[in-house]
Amino acid sequence: MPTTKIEIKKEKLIVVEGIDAKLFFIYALAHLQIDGIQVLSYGGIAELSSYLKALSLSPNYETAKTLLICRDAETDAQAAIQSIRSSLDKNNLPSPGGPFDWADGVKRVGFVLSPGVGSDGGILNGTLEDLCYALLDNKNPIMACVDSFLACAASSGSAIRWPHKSKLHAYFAVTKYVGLKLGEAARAGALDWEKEVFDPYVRMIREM
Amino acid sequence: MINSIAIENFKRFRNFKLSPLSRVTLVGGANNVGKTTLLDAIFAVYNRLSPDLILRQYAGRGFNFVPGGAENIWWPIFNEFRTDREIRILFNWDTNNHAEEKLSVKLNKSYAYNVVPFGSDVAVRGSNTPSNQPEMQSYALDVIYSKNNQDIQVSHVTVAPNGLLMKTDFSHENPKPASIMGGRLISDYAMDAQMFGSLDVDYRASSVTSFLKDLEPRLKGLSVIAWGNKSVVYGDIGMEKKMPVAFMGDGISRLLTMILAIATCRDGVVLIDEIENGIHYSAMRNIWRNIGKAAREYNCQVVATTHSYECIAAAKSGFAGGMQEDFSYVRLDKINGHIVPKVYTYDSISVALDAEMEVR
Repeated sequence: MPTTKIEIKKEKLIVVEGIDAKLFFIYALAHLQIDGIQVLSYGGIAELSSYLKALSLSPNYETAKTLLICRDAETDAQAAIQSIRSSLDKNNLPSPGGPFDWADGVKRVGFVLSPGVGSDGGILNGTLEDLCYALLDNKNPIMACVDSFLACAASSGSAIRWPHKSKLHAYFAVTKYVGLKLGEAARAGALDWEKEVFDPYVRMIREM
Repeated sequence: MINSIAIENFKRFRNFKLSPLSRVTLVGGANNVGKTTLLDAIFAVYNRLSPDLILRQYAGRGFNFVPGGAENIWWPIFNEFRTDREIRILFNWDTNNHAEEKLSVKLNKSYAYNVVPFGSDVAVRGSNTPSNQPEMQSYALDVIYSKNNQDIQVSHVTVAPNGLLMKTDFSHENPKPASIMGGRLISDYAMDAQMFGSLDVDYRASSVTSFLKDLEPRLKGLSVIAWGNKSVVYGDIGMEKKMPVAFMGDGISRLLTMILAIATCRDGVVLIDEIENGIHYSAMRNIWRNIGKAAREYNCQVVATTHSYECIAAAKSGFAGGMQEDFSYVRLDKINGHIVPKVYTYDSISVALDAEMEVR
């Protein structure tokens, strides 16, 4: 049992789903040179609703002013939105009308869904890995090799449920990021935080 | 069971409310947030026919005298030493016929006491002439017990030469028993023997053995053995001779005391300060499990305090598997000078522990 326990130390909290997402946001914040935001992870532990309940009982919760929740849209972005809003309602937290937006109340609360916003302004289905794939260097010729590999695997009968997740790890596997998980690759500099697709996240983080 | 408790002007609490309480409630928090005070407040309502409430404030801190003299004797139980405010301790129960109980404690300046011990200088002197003999002067402390808004018992506590005197009108003994255990490491073996004997005489002692078997699987039975004018609880663990339970280890010895307290407080309450003292964390799960089982069997409510993360984690583990609803954890926080309880259900403490959040 670790001796150091997780305490609320900052007024602005980002709550994410899992250690990879936690590292992703920690290194995004470092790139943006933003202090004063603490990233907490609930992934693999509990439902968001019960995590928010436990969080609300934590020492110093009263000092937290802003809460940004990040999770994957998975296969149904609308269901993910409803799920987050339900969790916020159950914990008497203000519920924004949709992702990449804020609601004010006892705390300032917003949420984002990965991978994010499509070119038509709609909320995309998918995961954080999809976003990360979009943040890779798409001028790298290895990208074409990765595409070919995935196409070959699919034509050979492999059921590829999340193509971007597979492509991301295939890309890592043949670059200096081999063996790294998403968060570790973010730490190692694999992602280009300046890409336009990351702009909605940057806006939300800066508005916290 | 007590569902909720409200405390005003008592020691650390200016205005404190805690709801709900569970069958077993574990209380944590930093130093000086009122964990022991909460136990004192609950015990005061049960033990209202004894001035022990006052004396415990001194004994618990190693004082065998009253600092500042007799006129200051009541100070420690009043929030900020403000004896002009009334202490109120209010219980709400989960049964309708026993809905609300209140204990009020206040200074009664019309009930002054002046004690002059025998042997004092009795020479005639003016009222302002200082005597060369000690005198004790104090106002009385009124302790008023009411149930469902009706005062049914009024006591006056005054200073006596060798302690405190309590005079009670309409004495109404609490039919529900209570027991309070301090945080000291060593069990009171004579008290253990007395509690065991009180169970044994009614053929109710055998179940106590079963609660200890998780910690000492060899244990076949318990008995009280008298040595001169002292009695000790012995255990049979298959050796050539029976062994005092106190010699089997701190964990089993503490658990014996706790189980005996619960078993002798059927339908009542047991209050345990710093429950983890003297117990290795690896034994705490089984101790919690058996406290939970005993509390159910004897319909006894348990409120305990802790400073230990491992103790809280062990409780989560001990109450798993069908006893989750019997447990809650409460952390007392100091927020803007006020003590505020944060109540974790079994589920929320589980999530917090799994997420390695700070919960103490």
